[in-house]
Amino acid sequence: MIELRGIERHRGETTVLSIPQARFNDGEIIGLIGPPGAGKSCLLSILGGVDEDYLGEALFDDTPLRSIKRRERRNLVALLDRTGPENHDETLYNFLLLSRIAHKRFMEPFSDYDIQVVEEHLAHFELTAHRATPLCELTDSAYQRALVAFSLARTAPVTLLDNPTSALDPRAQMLLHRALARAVMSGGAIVLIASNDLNFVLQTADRVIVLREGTVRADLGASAVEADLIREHFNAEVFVTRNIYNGRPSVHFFPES
Amino acid sequence: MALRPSNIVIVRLAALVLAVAVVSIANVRLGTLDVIGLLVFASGATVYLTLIKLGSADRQGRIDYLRSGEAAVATLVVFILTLLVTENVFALLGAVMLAFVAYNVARRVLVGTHRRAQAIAGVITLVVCAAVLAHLFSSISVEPARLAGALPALGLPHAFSGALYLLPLFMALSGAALYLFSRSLDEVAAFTQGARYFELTGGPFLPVALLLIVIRSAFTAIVFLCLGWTAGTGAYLQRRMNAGRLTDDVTVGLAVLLYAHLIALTMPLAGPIGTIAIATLLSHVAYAITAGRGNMS
Repeated sequence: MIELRGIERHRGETTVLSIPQARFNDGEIIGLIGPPGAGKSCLLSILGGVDEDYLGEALFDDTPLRSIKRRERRNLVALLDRTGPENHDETLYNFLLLSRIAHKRFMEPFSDYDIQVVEEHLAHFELTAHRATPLCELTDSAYQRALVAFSLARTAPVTLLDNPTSALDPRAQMLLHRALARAVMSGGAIVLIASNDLNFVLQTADRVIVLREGTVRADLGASAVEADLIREHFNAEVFVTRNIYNGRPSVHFFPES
Repeated sequence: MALRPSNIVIVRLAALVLAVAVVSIANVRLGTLDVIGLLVFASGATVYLTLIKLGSADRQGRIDYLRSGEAAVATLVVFILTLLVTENVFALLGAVMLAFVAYNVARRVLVGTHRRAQAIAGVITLVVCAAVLAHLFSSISVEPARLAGALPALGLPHAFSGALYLLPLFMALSGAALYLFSRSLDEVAAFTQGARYFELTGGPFLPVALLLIVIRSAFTAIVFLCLGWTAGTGAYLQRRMNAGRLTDDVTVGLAVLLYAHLIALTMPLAGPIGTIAIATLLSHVAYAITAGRGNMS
């Protein structure tokens, strides 16, 4: 469980994030939505341990994030953000193996289990054919799938995904949707998705938090999202229908008249 | 009859050993190198093997030390020191190493790790150092033969004559470094992906990056004093060593030694400046070939 208490992040005179109280429960997929600059990525950076210049406390199972040693944190949180790998000559398989490096001892080889986890994620994200391909030669979609697979193959209790669907085609989005559902299935993991892809978030998340100007404007079940909420916070004329298979909302723009 | 891969490897190694022996004898017969020079060359090639391996961890090491401008900086330092101060091998090693640390930190900060940018910075450094050397040539009142002799085209093998015990020490150091490297290739791979990825290993990125610059500078200084300008293109054989097979490492080591001896063969005809020019030209050609294969990141 993650609990936020009086989290504030300032940049100069501006408050970019202010969350007095929030709680993310084990087994939940939480979608963070909001217009650009709402504080979505900022919150993920704080929870990912990348940004430590904030006020208040983020508690992971009642332990302040700040007091968790970096060594322990690497097994606790997996963050996918805009910081990609630097060495694009690396093959996809070798790159994905690095996702398991926090689980292995220094100068020891990867275990069979590590290799199995990587193979499963390669297969799930339909990347097996590209295993020997250098990262620089992957298509945009395959590259993004590789980054997502890297985050999920870490099998961390907390997975933070910032705009995971960028460059993903519909099939890859479906694979991601299934992978996230599988990741929280055991009930011990939390996934936070910050995204501008409203429909992906509404189809995938259990709960949606609307952020705007750094504050929480709404916190509700994904199924309860209505068109008024989207109109109010995104300044977009939309209407909402229901997915006939699961009853979840789907957001549509009005056709031009 | 088709040869099995293991036989091909053995034949390749035997051919390389034979070729190295032939050119070594040729260099001795021509007076380019003496027996100590041969030992220094062999030690330098072993240390260079480690440097090539380090190139897989350090993105600054993805171009050779000729193309990076390090050889030009070292030539300037050695030229000034040997003419004006001392020919002591420890002083030379220390001075070249310090110059490399300063140059590589500056290169990292000012140029970054992009291969093309590093190569351009290397050419600029080469031109600047050449201009300074030309100025020194015209302004220092020493006989021309001594001036030319202070150019370490083939390194400074004679500087080791009083400290031959350094050579097995260098080899042992390389062996230990190669062993450590082969055991930590995954951590090395994480390092090349940047701070965020390396910190997954639990290690701090910045201290390791600085340590790597110091280690690389130390090894490059040893290589430069042992081999001078003759071993540049070995850096482009790094991919061959990625599989971690001992035979690949030995093949690359022998190839480096052979190349160094072949460059040394040009010395009697071309002189030190001509040899440096030939080595630099070949380094540029090797860079162009590998860059053409898309290895530009």
